Amino acid sequence: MLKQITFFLIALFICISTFAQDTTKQKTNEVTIITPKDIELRYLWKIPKFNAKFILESEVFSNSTAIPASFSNSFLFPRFIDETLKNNAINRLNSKNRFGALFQSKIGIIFYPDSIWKAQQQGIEIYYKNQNVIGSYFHTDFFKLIFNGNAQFAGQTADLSNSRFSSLNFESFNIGYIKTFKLSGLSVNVGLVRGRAYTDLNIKNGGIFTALNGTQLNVDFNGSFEQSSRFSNVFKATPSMGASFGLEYNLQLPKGINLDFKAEDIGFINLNEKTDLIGRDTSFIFNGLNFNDIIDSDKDLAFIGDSLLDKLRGPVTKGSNMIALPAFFHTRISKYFTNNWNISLSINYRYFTGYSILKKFEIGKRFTKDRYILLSIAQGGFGNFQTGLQFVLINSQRHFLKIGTVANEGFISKKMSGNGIMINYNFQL
Amino acid sequence: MKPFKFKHTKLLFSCICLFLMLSNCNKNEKTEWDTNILGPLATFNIGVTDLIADSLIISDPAQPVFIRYIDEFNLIPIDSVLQFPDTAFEENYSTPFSFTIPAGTDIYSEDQQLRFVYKDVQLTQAILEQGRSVLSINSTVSDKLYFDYSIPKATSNNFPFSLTNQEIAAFDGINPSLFNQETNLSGYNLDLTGVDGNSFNSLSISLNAKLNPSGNGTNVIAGQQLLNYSSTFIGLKPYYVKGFLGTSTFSDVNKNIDLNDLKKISGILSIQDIVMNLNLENSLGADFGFTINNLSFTKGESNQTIALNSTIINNEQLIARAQHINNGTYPYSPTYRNYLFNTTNSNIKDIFELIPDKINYSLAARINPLGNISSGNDFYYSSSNLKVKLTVDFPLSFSANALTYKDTIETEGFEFDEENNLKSATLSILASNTFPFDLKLKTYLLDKDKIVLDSLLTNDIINAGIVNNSDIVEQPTNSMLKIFYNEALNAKLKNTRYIVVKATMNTQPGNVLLPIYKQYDLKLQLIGNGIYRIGIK
Repeated sequence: MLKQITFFLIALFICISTFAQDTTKQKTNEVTIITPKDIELRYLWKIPKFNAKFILESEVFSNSTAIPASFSNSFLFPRFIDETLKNNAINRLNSKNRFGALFQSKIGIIFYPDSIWKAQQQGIEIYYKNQNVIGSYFHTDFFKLIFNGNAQFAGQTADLSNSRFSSLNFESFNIGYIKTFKLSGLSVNVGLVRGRAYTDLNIKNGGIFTALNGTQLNVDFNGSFEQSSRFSNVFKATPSMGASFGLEYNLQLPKGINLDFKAEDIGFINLNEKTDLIGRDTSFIFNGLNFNDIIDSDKDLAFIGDSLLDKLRGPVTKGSNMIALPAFFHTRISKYFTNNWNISLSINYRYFTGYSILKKFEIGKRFTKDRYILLSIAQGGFGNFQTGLQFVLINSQRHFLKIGTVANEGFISKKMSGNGIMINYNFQL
Repeated sequence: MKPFKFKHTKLLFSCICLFLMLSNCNKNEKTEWDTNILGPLATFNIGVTDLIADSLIISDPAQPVFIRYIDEFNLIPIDSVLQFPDTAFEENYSTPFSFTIPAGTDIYSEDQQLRFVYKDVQLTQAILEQGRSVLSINSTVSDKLYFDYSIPKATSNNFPFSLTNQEIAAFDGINPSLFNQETNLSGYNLDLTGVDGNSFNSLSISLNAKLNPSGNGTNVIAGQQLLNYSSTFIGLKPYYVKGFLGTSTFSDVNKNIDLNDLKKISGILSIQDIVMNLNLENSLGADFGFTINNLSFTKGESNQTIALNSTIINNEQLIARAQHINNGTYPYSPTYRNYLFNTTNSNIKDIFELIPDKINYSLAARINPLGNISSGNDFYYSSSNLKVKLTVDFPLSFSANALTYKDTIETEGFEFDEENNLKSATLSILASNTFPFDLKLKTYLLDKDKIVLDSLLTNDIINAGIVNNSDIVEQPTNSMLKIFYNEALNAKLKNTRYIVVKATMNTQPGNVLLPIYKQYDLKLQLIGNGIYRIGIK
């Protein structure tokens, strides 16, 4: 992890130093009033000067209402989670907590099939996207049980009620149509989706009582568990396929006001027939695997764990199941001032476990024609309060590069939640 | 333009690296953490019926356990004594001179006496349970032959065994003509008194062969073999025989029986009482005598030997013959002899308390020790034998003082996955005991040179249930034993080739004979409390 952070800081340093180098140039050139057209090439209604645009986007972040970034990063950059890390997390837990993470990469191209299309400002968008979304909400005891075990609950009940963990990894191949008008732009796309892995544990009511000396476990569980087959690829099993729909609309209003609306990944995946589906409402006492006849028994103690799991899990049904994609909705209103500042307010929502409405305020400042900085303050999503800092480092005729963070708190303090980075690079052909 | 290009190259390089970093997290390493898991693993219930077969317990459940052990076996290997030896008769017939045999001429006509060879058994009658006869005739006569074959004194439903007017094809000049027939003799009654009716073990057979009456006769040359004739009796097993059954003697001198399982047990054991009943049943129609010359028991560890002290030793015991009867399950009435061994007339209790691991004995047995006093009227049925029934009765009431069970178990070692996720653990054994004895447990791990590597249990005690004034345990006594595990133990377990298990039993209170009840049991619950490392990719 240290290596990656170091690399990130070096990359950031290079960017900032490059940014700083241009300040002298900025003084010598008259800065004109900017519009969103000048800031980001990706705005739909910016007429491209070239016939095609290559798109490369990636975003990784995790956030939580309680779990420190140093803890969650241990999953992103594998390492041993020691007691200090665990205690830092436990000390920040509330009775109800949320955690989530997103790993997303997108690669694609926008092109204009011929000069007529280009003249009419119509384009085609084709891209591949891979997303891994993890979301959860959980009781404090759930976290303690998973990461510290049940020994700490000797003589007590670990309350696992109202806890849920979901993880979805899917990829999509999308094709879209782009139309640019005088003061607005519209994009619609449809996608073919393939689910790679899905896990969903939903405990509505549940708890485990551990007897003081460990002589028995009292287990209550009312909930469900769903897991796609581990190796669901097109060659070994019926693929888990689905479809998605996306829409994006930008509108430029007078007085430097701009409206954006985006909805993506509205769709579904039909998990294949090998998906484990378990609905369980059970309550039992476990005293250990019973060996009635110790002298002649050929049972193996290794089966004890399996036995407990079997008892907890109950009958497993194999079957297909349709699940919704983690649809993402974004609405933003922006105001661009004549002094190269801009502000915006946005509301984001992702339809996934543990995600709440994200309210974001952004303030941006353009320093030169192709240098721009953006600071955001937000509340919601998988976590609480969070800030982001992004730089447009290149905005030339051919290149556009934006790089930055989507949550800073975890970078600032190991005990705080949320960190994430993003990169957005476009190249016109 | 150069600075611009350089600047953008740096940026692009940084961006590409960042993109790769974000898209390609390290998937080979694991995120790991330690959890402390506490919980029950397994329960074991060792009751009286797990230690002693339920079929041996004859007492009422509410009463102290009373054990009756019964063993039955036949003393005489009758099959090998009285089964007919496989017997064959064979003859070649040839002519001493050359001549022409006219058609229809008898060329062979003989009665033969077949004798079954026994040492001193003289049988006059047998009814066969199974067996077969094989008749084989090879002809080198150049015309067909017709023959009659019979065993006049082998009858089935009063009809003697016979084959009449059987045809043998003419010799073709190359291969002899062959007649071969196998006959099942099950159920045949054999009169073994021979042709004159005064003999024994004898059976007469008759063959008469003549040349084809419708032929033209045949020329034979001096010395030419005309017939090869054999009659074989195979696997004749009688259901019943009559005669003199002989005086066969069976003896085992200075034989040893190793009771290896009992070598693992040592210590001081006192039992309340024991009674052994030796019952002999003779269902042969012949007298029987047997002598136990020596019966001694040895405990190897203490090199202590106790010989059975009883009037039966060195005194030949005679058991009279069974008698024929007309109605009953069997056609005979057996005779019986009983020999009782108890604490009054023998030292059997001392022998039992010795917990012997070796038995040494010398004995002899014989049929008709008084000779042929039945004048050839001994009999035997296939269900007859000298049957021994040994019954041992004893109440399971005892006192044990350092009664120790020690065993060495060989092992190939315990292989753990390279990635052993159990880092340390305490395995607790919660014992709930209603047996009135405590158990001291020791377990050692030894390497290939039998050097102790470690111990899992050392002097850990499962405490005895507490008896009341009536010597009954009403409530179990709980004990907790602990086995400690850490990663260092892994290597020792891997190198372990022997495990020595030692369990020492002491009844409480000591030196008091305590009855065992059927409801007594030892409940064991294994509880794990360990640090388990969880890893996910």
